[in-house]
Amino acid sequence: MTKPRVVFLALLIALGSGLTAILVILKPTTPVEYTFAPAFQLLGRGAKTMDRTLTRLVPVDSGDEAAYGDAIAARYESESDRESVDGGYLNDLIAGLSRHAKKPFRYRVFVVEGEPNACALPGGVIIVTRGLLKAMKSEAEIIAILSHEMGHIELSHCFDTVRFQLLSQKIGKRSLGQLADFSVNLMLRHSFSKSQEEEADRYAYDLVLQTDYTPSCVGDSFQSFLSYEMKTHADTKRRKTNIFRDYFMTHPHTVHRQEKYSEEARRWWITHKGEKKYRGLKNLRLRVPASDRRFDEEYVMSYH
Amino acid sequence: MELFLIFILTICLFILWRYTVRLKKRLDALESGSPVGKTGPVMPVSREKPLPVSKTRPVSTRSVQEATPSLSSASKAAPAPPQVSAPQQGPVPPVKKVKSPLWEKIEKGFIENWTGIVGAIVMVLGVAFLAVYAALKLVPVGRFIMLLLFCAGLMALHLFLSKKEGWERVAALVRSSAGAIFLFSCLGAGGIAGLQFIESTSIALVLLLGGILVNVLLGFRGPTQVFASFHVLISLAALSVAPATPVTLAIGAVVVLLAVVMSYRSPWEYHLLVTVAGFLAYQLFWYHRYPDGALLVEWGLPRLTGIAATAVIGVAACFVHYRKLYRDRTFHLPPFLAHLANWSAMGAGFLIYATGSKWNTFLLAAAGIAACALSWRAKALSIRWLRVTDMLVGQALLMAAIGTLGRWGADDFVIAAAIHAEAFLFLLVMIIEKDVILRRIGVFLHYLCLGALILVSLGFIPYGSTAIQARIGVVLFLMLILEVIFHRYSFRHAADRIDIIGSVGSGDMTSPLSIGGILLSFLFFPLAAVVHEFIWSGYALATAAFIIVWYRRRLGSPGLGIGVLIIAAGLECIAIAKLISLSDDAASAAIYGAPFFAVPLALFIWSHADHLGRRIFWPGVYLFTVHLVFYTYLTTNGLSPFIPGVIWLVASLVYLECAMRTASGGENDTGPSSFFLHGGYALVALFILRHLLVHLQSELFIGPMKVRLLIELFAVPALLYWAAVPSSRSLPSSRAWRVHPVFWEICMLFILLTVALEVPSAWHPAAWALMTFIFFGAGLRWKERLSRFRFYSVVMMWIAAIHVAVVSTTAVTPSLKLGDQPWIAGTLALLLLFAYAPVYYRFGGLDNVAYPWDLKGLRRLIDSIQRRRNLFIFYPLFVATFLFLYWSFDKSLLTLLWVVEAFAVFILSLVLRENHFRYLSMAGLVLCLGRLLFFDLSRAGTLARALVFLGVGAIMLAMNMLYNKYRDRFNP
Repeated sequence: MTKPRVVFLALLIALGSGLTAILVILKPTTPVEYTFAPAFQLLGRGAKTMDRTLTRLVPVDSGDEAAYGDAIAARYESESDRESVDGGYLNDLIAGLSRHAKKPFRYRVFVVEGEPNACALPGGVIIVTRGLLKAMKSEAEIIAILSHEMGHIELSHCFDTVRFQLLSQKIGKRSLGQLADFSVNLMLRHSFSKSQEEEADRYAYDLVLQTDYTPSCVGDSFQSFLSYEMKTHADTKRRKTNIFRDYFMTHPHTVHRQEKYSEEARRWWITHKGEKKYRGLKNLRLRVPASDRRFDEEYVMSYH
Repeated sequence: MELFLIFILTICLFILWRYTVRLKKRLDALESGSPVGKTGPVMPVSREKPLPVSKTRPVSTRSVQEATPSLSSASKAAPAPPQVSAPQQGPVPPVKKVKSPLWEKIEKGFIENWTGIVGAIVMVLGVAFLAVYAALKLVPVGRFIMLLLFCAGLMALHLFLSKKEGWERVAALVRSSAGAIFLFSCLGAGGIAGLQFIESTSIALVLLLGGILVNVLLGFRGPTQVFASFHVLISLAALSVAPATPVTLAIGAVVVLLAVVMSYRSPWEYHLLVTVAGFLAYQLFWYHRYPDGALLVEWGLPRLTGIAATAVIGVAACFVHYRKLYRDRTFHLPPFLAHLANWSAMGAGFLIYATGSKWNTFLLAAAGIAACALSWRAKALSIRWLRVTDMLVGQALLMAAIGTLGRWGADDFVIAAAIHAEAFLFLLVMIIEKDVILRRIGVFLHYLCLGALILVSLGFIPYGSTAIQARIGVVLFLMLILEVIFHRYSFRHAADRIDIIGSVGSGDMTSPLSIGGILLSFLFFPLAAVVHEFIWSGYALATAAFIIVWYRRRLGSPGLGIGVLIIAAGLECIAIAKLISLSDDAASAAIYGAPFFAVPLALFIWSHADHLGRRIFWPGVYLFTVHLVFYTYLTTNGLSPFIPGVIWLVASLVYLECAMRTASGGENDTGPSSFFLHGGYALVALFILRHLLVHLQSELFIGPMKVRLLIELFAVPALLYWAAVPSSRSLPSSRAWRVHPVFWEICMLFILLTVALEVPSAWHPAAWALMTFIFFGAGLRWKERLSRFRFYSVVMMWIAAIHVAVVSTTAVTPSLKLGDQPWIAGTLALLLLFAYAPVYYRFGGLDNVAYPWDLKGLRRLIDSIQRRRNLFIFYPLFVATFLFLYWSFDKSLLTLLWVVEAFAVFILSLVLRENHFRYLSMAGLVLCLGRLLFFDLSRAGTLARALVFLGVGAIMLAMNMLYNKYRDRFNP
């Protein structure tokens, strides 16, 4: 017994030494020195499952959510210029993406003023700021953002936040439902919102792979966010790790998301040599969707 | 008004006269021995002149018994009633109440002193009234003369009383009062408004001198030191009213000198103390009243006068005690205080007039040497306390002299080192002289100076000046060697208890604990601070520490043992600080930090403690671990943040191997095994922490694999090795080893974490379902060690079931690949779970599940699961399957799918021979038939309807066939 054990130990030590040697040679690094966010993200999956179970037990469905979305959309119709060039452009893009949707919603995008941001609301409503259109560099990146927001809707993340409200509407106690949603969100959401963002990112990447757009666009969109942050805020403080901030932050670190999906895209291009994918820098500039007009120089055949 | 005052005074004097007359009569009566009147007060018995026992003294029962012992013996023969016996002779006087001793004492004290107190008060009142009267009625000269007459009257009274026996004290008080009033009148004649009639300052001063002279003479004449001190103090007080000039200071000095001379006559310690303190107070008052303080800054008459006065008084007062009078006297506080006060006053006096000259160094040194010489003189005279006092004063003066070396350009370090050297020299001299008290003081002083030197060194080091750094380094090194030598001497001469503060160990293994061994270690730190900026310093410091560790072993000193620990811990802190500063330069950091491994190794090798009779392993192992952690982190983190964690895990395996190889077995394992194990635990914990905080965030690939995954693939077998390899039979049962089985849980959690991270989320339920098999199998295969894993398999089954029912059914993917579809993985998971259920049933479930620790709550849960396995195992599975089917598939296919589920339950009932499940499957089947008729028939399309009907029919037929074939299985 002793001899095989010693051999196994020697093998393990050799493995460890070999791994160390590889790491010394290749010098891989991490986006931040250390962070609690991924661990919290992982732990959040349990809380998310509990929350999802709760949603399952509530007798509301996609039909209720769609009606809720229509009500929200009606409110935004009056406040945003959906008919503008930007609004029309984005709605053309979401129309192409919604072909891959599984939920019976009419996806609509509303454009509002503000710093680069986007959010999804129940029932297929997506809000995009003009700042986002300025911060993104290509149509593919806009597609990545829209796919991410669509992921939140498709994966019922938005629905989870209003389930009691929808239920209470049915029984005529709306304020009670709002209070219940608020309470649950306040207590639970920060524990798994990072997990939800991770799911939406994954959905976005998988959706982009179903389109003609380059898979690099997901990582690129995060890179554009980072560039914007560095340019406008010079915010180096956010890179510093803080256990409380890591826990309460709603999104994973953008650097991590950027690294993850850039790596995935790089891997995709290695396994899909010879394929052509579209970027759409000019399309975004001209606000012309690629479905209407494509430019030859916008095609890429490798990871960039 | 005046008449009223005179009236009052007359009454007071009359009362005083009456009282005096009565006192006189009583004294006469006492002297003649005649009895005092029956009702008169009883005079207290004087200590000096005890009163004869009065025949008329009342006799108490007790006193009679004590006085007549024969009576007691007689009473034994013929018992008599215990009554007061009759007086032996004479008439019976009236029984008088006896006063309590306390009251007698108070009464006596009052009566003995009342004359002085009341007399002085009355006299002062009288003078005051007369002064008031005179101030109102007479010219200043008249007032002066009146006061003189009053003094003359008092003196006459003094002469009269001094001849009367028993009135000496009152006479002395009257005389002192006369002297004080005379001084007051002399002072007033020259400078107090209302009394002043002399305009010339010189004449006024002469007159004042006359008053002072009279008082000093009275002081000489005074019967006790109280009177002497009184006259000296009022003389100084009168002088302080006079203008502050060198002349007045000189006069004051002469007065005090004469007062000191009084102490040569008889040992008036309190007088000397009061005089010296009074002169210091007078000097301070004089100094602050001096018209132009700026003059004192320069050399001049005032300063010279001050210095001379201080010196003369100080020397005169100092020599008081170097007389045969004090020989062989044991320690008494008054002379000691007086002597110390004199030195302090002298020091303060010199400080007032300090010139700031650098030559003062020599003066102070000379004074210090003189004090030491005096100390030896005191030793020759056998005056013990004086010897100690003067030696300490001399020591203080010498240190003060060294302290002024800054005026000669010496820096703080040189001064601190010189003071330390001086203290060391003093200690050596005292050791040679075998003077125990001074040696102890010397030891304390020496260590105090050592502490000061260390602090000064740490704050002083001028980085960038190599020459000074080198000088400091050399001096500190020499000091260190000196301290080591001293420690060796002290330890080897433990019987002398030079710096031994106790003994450590037990039984025959005790060893003296020398404090020097502990304290010398602190000298190491300034030495390290001097050189720490150089890369080679790591080697120098580690070598020095290595030698000291070796020397500790050779000497066997427990004190140095503690010191060595302090050195090693401190060096580690220094090394870490330096490594942090070098962390950007991995090569330099590696070169610098490498030699520090030698120190814990030395601690490990030379770990034997003689006084304990065994080896102390923990410092070496722990320190090595700490250095390993920091060294690897600070040298490799800059290259790649993934490296430290991997190295720690590899190192932990080595630690485990060391722990196993050094384990001796049994309860009383005194080897290093446990400490190695602690180190290994720490390294594994650090790896896991590092993995969570650093590795998890990375998504980078190396070749086809993520860096994170590579590390996980290495970590899983390493942790498995940790958990599996040590055999419990050959290992000691210490607490460290008892914790070890938890590594199985650590390993399991790490594997689950890896699966959660690396397996796509859609496939998680299948992975968890697979884990149920693996854990259950492990629990069966290694029953002794891993039976608890069967319980974990149940937990994994629950997780898989929930995931399938809730998460997989809501998971949506835009991907078209079959492998990405959540229902595929969900279905696979369900199949695995259905396969798990009979396995669980067949192999005893949670029978005989044991934990290496006492976990009662968990035990109850396990028992409960085992008792109600249908509730905890099978129903969750059936419900999860039902929900999964309901939420994942089209409504038109649901009837068919649920029938399949019912069929699966039926098969399960066959396999497990459980009628309960058969009934359940039948009930499900009935419900499905209802849905088939009421839902599918009306809402489903034709093709779907056909398929569902076909499927349901076929399954029901199969069930019927199987039931008929295996009917006997359901019979009891």
